[in-house]
Amino acid sequence: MIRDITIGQYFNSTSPVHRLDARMKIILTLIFIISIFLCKNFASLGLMVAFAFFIVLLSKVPLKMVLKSMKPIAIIVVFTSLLNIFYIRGGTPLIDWKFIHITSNGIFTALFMAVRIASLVVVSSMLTYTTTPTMLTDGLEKLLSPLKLFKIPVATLAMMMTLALRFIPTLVDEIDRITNAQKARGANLDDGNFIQRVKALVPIIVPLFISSIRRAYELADAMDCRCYTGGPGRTRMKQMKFHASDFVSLGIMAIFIAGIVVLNHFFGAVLVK
Amino acid sequence: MNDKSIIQFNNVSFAYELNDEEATVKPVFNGLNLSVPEGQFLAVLGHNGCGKSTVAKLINSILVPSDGTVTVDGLDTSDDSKITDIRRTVGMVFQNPDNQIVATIVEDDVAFGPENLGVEPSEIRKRVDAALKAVGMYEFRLAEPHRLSGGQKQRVAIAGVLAMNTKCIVLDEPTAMLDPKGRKEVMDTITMLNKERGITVILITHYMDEAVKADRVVVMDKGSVVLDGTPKQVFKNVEQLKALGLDVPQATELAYKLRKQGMNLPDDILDEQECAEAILAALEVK
Repeated sequence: MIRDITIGQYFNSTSPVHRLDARMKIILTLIFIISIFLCKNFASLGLMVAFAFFIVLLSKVPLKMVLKSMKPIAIIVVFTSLLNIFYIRGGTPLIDWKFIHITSNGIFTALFMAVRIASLVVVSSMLTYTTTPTMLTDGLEKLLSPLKLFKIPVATLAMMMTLALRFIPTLVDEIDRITNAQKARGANLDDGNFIQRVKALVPIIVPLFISSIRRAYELADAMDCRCYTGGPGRTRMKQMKFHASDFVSLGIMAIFIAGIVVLNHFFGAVLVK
Repeated sequence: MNDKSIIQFNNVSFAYELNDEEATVKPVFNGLNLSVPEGQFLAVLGHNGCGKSTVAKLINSILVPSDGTVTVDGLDTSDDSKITDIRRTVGMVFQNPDNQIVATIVEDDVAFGPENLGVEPSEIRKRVDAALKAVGMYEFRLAEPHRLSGGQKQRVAIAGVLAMNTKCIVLDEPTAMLDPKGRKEVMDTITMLNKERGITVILITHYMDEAVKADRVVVMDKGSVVLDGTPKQVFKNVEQLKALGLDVPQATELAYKLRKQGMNLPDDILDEQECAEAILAALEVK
């Protein structure tokens, strides 16, 4: 059961979004995040939400899964909205009772904030739903490669990330094994208050650390034997290539941004100064 | 098989430096000599702590001898500038399959070696496909390593070595952590690579049944070679092997015990088939 974990939250499919180059997807995600904060009125906000929906539908990732990624941030959204409702001043006063002052600006800001955070999470989770961790690492390595000029070892950092991803399932297995071994020796991991349970983790974490260090040594030998030097001169089997679809997607994104700018211009800002 | 030796140990001494208070060095070898001809399938046997794994690490220049020389295809392993050439000649497979796979996808892992050597991408692709087909893992090329069985992971590790086009593979107890099925898969792969592709194989093991498949068996004890010959020559010495804390193949053991009871059997029996035939022959004579 535990062997079947998937690293990250990749959803396997062959949708047009999945087939885009990882580098392009990272760039598009960044552009989209900026566009979220460009929206000034309900028309452009509506367009932004519609576009986010369009991406989700195009990616064929079930809506349920996408909504699941919203769960952890629901509290933050509600909390910031409430704060905004009560503390933002300006615009038409709606309620003015004792210490509670609610204005139209407060309501609008709260609404905008909630929609913005939700879209931000949905769109950035689309990146991880449609791109394998390996492709994501390769894409980041390529995108960050100009940093080599500043002597930042991008390739080495990418290698570290790949190794970390590679060893997550192995270490999960290991934790499972150690936990069972300690239970067999009578360790009580499930009872007691919070502090007792944290303390009970020590006999699991210490062996895990020791075995990880041992693994690291062996891995280093194995990598040495396969001529890894961490230096230049390394080639890659999989070459990343931009396809026509990548440029089409960039074009669609450009049209979307233009749409936001136009709607912002024609409908004016919602918030009253 | 030709007589040119690909690996040569000349009078090698080696000691691990320890930080203990009593002893600062723990000698492993003193004047070890060993030569492996190209194309040979050599099995190295010995009980724990006799220096088997050190032999493997010396060949691949993970360790360098404190005295004497180790040469790989004429290259001295203590010469730092030759390390890449040595490692592209001799590949290494370790005991724990989990600790030698570096990528999250099988084919990426096999590509790791050639990528490090700076091979052209299209050439890497060809080598990776060929290597995976050779070890029978081609249909798993897109799998995640942690979903494979131990035997499959070891075959991926072997493919990773093959993709570097090495002439020689050193395997350090590659089957120690595997179940019988995985052990058979790995042994079949190793034997095939040796017989069909002429790759020199150095198999460090403590399974006698695996050593039987080799062309030559070297038995080590306390850092020196005590027995050296074909499996038949080596496993004849049942008493000496037992004194060294080693087993002999089960069939050999049976024949040895029957011979002690006065049965007329040859002393170089290695497998069940031979043993059965010999016993049958001995019974018919009676």
